[in-house]
Formats: sequence, C-alpha cells, structure tokens
Amino acid sequence: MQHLDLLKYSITNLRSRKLRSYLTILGIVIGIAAIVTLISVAQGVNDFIMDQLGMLGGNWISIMPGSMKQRMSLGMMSAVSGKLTTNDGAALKSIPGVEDVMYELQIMRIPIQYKNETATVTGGGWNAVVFEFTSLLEVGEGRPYKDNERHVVVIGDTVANDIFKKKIEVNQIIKVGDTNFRVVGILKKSGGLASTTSGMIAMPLEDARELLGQQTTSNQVDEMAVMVSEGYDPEKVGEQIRLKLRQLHHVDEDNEDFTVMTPESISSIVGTITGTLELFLSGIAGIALLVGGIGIANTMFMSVMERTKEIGVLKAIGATDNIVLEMFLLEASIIGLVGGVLGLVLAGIATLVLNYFGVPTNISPELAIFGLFFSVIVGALAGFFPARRASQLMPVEALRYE
Amino acid sequence: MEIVKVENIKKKYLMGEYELEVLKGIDLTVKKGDAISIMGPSGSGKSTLLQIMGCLDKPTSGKLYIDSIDTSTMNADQLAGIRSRKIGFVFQFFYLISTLTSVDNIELPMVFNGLSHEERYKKASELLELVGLAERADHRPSELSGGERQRVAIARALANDPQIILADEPTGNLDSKSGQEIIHLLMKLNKEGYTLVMVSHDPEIARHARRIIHVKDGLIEKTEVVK
Repeated sequence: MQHLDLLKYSITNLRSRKLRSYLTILGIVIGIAAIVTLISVAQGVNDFIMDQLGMLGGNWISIMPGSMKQRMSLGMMSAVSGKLTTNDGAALKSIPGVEDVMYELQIMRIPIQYKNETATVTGGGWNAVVFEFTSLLEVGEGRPYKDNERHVVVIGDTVANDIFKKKIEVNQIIKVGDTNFRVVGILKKSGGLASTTSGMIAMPLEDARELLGQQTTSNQVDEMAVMVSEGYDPEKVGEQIRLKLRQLHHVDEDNEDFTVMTPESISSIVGTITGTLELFLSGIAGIALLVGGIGIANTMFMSVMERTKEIGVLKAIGATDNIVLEMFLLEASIIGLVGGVLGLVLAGIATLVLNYFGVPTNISPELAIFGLFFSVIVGALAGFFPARRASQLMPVEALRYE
Repeated sequence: MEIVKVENIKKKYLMGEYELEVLKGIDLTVKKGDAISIMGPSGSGKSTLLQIMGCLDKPTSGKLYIDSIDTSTMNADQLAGIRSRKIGFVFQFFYLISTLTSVDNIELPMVFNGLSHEERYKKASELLELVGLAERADHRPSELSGGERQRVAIARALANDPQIILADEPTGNLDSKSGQEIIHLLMKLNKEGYTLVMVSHDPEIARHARRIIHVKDGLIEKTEVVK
C-alpha cells in the first residue's frame, strides 16, 4: 500500500519536473545508445566475419605457392619462389581422401567488349570443379561451364547488368581480350563477401592461360584447392598432401616452397584476426560503458544532491530514512528504465543508419537486456548513494543545504 | 499533563576552529493546551531550541521528553516516528513539496504514517476545510499566495493529529495582513485543544500566546505571562 503511494509520489515528481526529468533521461539515453550501438557493431562485425568464413566452405584444403614465412614477409600479392603445377595436382589425386583438385589462374585486369563498349574487369581461370567448391560462385542464370568447353565464360551479376548500357544475356557473345567468348552462365546476385565475385568473370583454365600468354608456363597454376572426401579428416589429408608435395618439389620441412592451409589452420588465422578485432571493439565498448556510466551516474547524482532540502522536508514531516531512500531509488530506477528503453530505441535507429552505410551490427536479446539492466542499475546506484547520504542527515542539516 | 519537557539542553556547533555554544542549558516544560511564544534576538538560539523540541536536530547534551518518552536514546527510525505522530512542524518558508497539490501535500505525512488512501483523503479534506482552503485542494503551491501556502503547511502539520504544533517564525515570510490571519488560525487551533509553541522575534505576534519565553545568549532570560 505504502509502496504504491511512494511510487505514485515518484511518478508525480518526475512528471511535474518535466524539463529536468527529460534532461536526466536524455543523459542516460545517450549513454545507453552509445554502449549498445558500439557493442552491436562489435558483435555484428564478428558475426559478419564468421558468416563469411562459413561461406568459404569447410571441407577443402587450399594450397598456395611459397612458404607461409615468405608470404607473411612479402605480402599476399608478391612474387614468391616455388611453383604449383597441374602435375602436382594430378599426383595429389592418388592420396586417399582427395576427392578432386581445383586449379586457379588469376587475371588481375582484363578488357572486355560488348556491343562496341569496353570495360575492364577482374577474372580468372578455373577448372569446372570450382563451381562445386564454393558458394561464392553460384550460378543464377544459365549453367556453369564444363571442363571440355573452350571460350565460354560465367560472368558476375554486376558485369551482366550494370557495366554496359545493354544487359548481357546468357548465350550472348562478349569479347575478352581479342577472343570471342560465349556467356554460358550469370552468377547469382549476393551480398557480403560473395559480392566480391559479382564484378568478375570466370573462364576455363586453358582460356585463362591463353589470355595470360607469356606470363605463365604451360602447366603452372596460381593456387590449388583439394576437396576432401566425406569421412576423411581434412587435417590428416592435409598432412599427406604436405608430404607428397615435399617429395615432388624435392624439399624438406624447413624449406617448403608451398603452403597448405587446412580448415583448421585457416580458422586459427582467422581466429587471430577476429580475436584482435574483438579485443579492439570490446575496448571501445568498455570506454562506452565507462563514459555512459559516468554520465548516468553524474546526472543522477546531481539531481539527488540538489534535492537535499526536499529530503529534509520529507524527514521533518515524518518520513523515515528508508522511506526517503525508497522514494529516490524508485525515481532513479524509473529514470534508468525509461532512459534505457529510449536508449535502446535510439541504438536501434543508429544501427539501421550504420547498416545503410554497410556497417554490420547485431543487437542480440542479451545485449538489449544488458543495456536495460545496466541503465537501471547504474541509475539506481548513482541515485542511491547521494540519497542515502542525505537521508541520514538530521532534518535541519538537510534543510540547511543550498 | 506534560507534552514536552526540556531538561538542561545544550547545543554546540563546531565553527571551523572554535566551538559555538548556541544553547547553554535550557529547561522548559510545555503542558497540554499551552500556547507559548519563544522570543529573542537573532542568534539567541530560539530556533535551535524549537528544532530540538521537534526532533529535527539533536542536542549536544540534556534530555528531551515528548509525551513523557525520553527521546535522547532513540535511533533515527524512532525519531522519525515521533516526528510523524507526535509533532507538527510549521516553517517560516512553508517547505511545501512544490510538485504536489495542496491535498497531496497534506496527505504526505499520512502516507508516511501508513494510512489508507480513503482515510487520508477524508482527513486532508477536513483539514483543508479547517484552514479555510477547501476550494484550493487541487492547486499547487506556486498557484497559492504566501498566506494560503502557510495554511496548507499548517494543515499538513495537523495531518497525524500531533500532540504539539511547533511553528518557527510562521508569519516571518508573510505580509502583516496574512500574518495576522495565520496567527489567528494558530490561536483558533490552540482554543480547539492543540498545544502550540512558536518562535518569533516580533512582540506583536508573540503576544498572542499565553506565555512568552525570552531567550538570550542561549539561556532563558525570563518567562512572561501575557495578560
């Protein structure tokens, strides 16, 4: 009964001191919105990266020329010693658990021509198995090319629809370099990491070799990937591949001229990257918590301090210390709750804006509940200490407070 | 019957380096139905005495009995209970809660005393009637004149049927006409049975009481019976 009356008093108080209540709430709203938005970006980026890694597929082993050490010190795109050839790949097929081998030849920039318009795109050559390897190359219209076909391409969605004035349809002819190619398939439109493939073209390995001309020897490839048969451990198959390649390249463990990346080693590298990112983002979130928390505490603290005199009056007319404390805690909690809810709404709007600009976000239910609790608890605590201090004064002392 | 009994009460304040003794040993007894004025120049300690009698402040030494109960050993909650049920305090600056209407202000001490909504509303309405402000029930303090605010404050002081009304310069912040009205209201309440102690430095106001206690330099100088 009395608690309800005290709640009513608190609400009346908040409602009739509108401006001050709004300003106090605003301080909390901004604090909570900052906290929730920053943490949601941290979670969103993390989810995004994890999601994209999932798209790369989990059951294959990637093989690149040059040792890991070389690649790290020279950078990803630099020339490295050691060559991979289709002969290597053919030899790997004898290893149990190797289902198929994919070869890749990269072409950085290729001029293409369609109905007298020219444009430059990126692309590469792959054997047809690439379409089974990764969801990054998912054909929407038409079909993938086959290994026995020549001068055929699968083009990205952007290449088909956006680059040229007229859309390129399946079965039309485009000129790649100086050669006519028939478009057999168009990739599905997609977002995220897969969108990197929307502006490229894919062609059979031999066609890519022809376009590259002198830059490559007859059976060299830029990268290989092995699809692991079901029931085999990719790590063990990876170890077999490493042994086989050492044998073929006449090298030992210390001077390997190739890198074998199993799903596990990829995820551990990725783990290092996302771990660092997570640390960085939680650092930001921590700062947001601190700044937001101090902001909330400060507003609440001031709003109670300036009412010390009112506390004196309440005590003079018979309120016990606990009643005074309850009244102010209720007010602080209501402010914390309302501020928390509005802060979440603002954070929701902020994440929509961020999403619009391509920043991934994720407000999980846990984060929303945390934000709300944080707001109520920090608000209540910040109200509690000055209210307790004031409630423990003798009424005259509180009344004397200016 | 003794409502308030003050025994050798002293009050010292620490003012930086040196001690200031505001009350140097006061003895005073207030009987039921009394109407007492405490007079004295500013700094004489008269307000401090009233605040100690109202349990708003604690004496440095000495004893205070309210309704024959010794309050000097009471804890904060017990003192709050005494303030709630035995004492009605009226301040010079009214000290109404600015966000509450007249009726809610009067109900507040009854909320602290645990009365039900119906009891509170009935009592508050009666008290508003008594102080002549029935039509002002739903006005906030900012919508009332000084005299009206003090009347609401008096009604609030009466909310829990106190043994005694303590008024600290109740007319000090009012024009003379409103002041007269307030003093007449307090005296009317006294005639109806309420015990009254008020502090004033104005002889005209103090004269309305039956006894005037003259305080000077923290001691009772003399007690004057008003004819």
